[in-house]
Amino acid sequence: MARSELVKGTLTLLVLSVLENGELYGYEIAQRIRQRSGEVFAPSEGALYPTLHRLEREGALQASWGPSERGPRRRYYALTAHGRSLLANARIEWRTISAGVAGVVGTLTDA
Amino acid sequence: MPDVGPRTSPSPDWSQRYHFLSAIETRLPLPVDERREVLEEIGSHLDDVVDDLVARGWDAGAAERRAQARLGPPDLLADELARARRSPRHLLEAAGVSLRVAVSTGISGLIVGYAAVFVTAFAAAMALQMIGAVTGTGWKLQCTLPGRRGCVGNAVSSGIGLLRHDELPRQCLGLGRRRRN
Repeated sequence: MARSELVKGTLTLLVLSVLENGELYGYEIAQRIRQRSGEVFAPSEGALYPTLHRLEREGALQASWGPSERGPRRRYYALTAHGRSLLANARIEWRTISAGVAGVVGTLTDA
Repeated sequence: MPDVGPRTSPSPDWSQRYHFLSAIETRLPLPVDERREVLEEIGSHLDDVVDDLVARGWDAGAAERRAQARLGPPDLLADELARARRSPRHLLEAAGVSLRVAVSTGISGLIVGYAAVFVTAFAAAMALQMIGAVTGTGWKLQCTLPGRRGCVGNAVSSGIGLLRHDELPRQCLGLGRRRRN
């Protein structure tokens, strides 16, 4: 299975996680995910912006325009209270699922 | 028209950027202000990627192409963005607008249709009445509806009769030969 396929379903969790420590703009979010994964994977940039806009519509993120050093404005995203609560729940779900997947994969490896 | 400047990125060919953003713009069913903001954000992202790639030794044109490729096909990106921004409120508003248009079109169509039938019947009845009177052929309108008198009354009765699907010659717009003494 392609690595991108595995990452696709986790994009919301990854985005919420990297925004936990402060606001970031789109490209920074992609870069931060890449860095924190140890350069193992990077989110699809085509999927990143629809995810950010969906999370903003759902009230998990708040967007605001800020200046950049090059001229054009940048759109910064920050977690809302609802977003933090969503992140907490998503983390619990992720731990449950990843433990389950590890159990299955481990069993298959042992066989 | 998407705004691609002013920017300091080293992209040598803004037409590439323009075509990419135009393709997104044409598929974004959003208000002008929101559409402009989406395009500005995507443009800013492309600037960041191009700057990054150029700093790593890429040619500016190739960097622009690569930055766009990383976002995927513009029409697909636009569709995904439109879907992501579509709230239940937007859907209800769209449904409301469609319903209003359908109802108003239906009502105005009905009014115009009935008016056209009535005017046609009225004009035909008037014409027949006048021809009968002027040429003295002995033909006249014989309205059988009670209380209707004279040429205009006959014509109006004819129009009403048509709208009520009455038989034109027999019940309302009867043509008869004038009796001569």
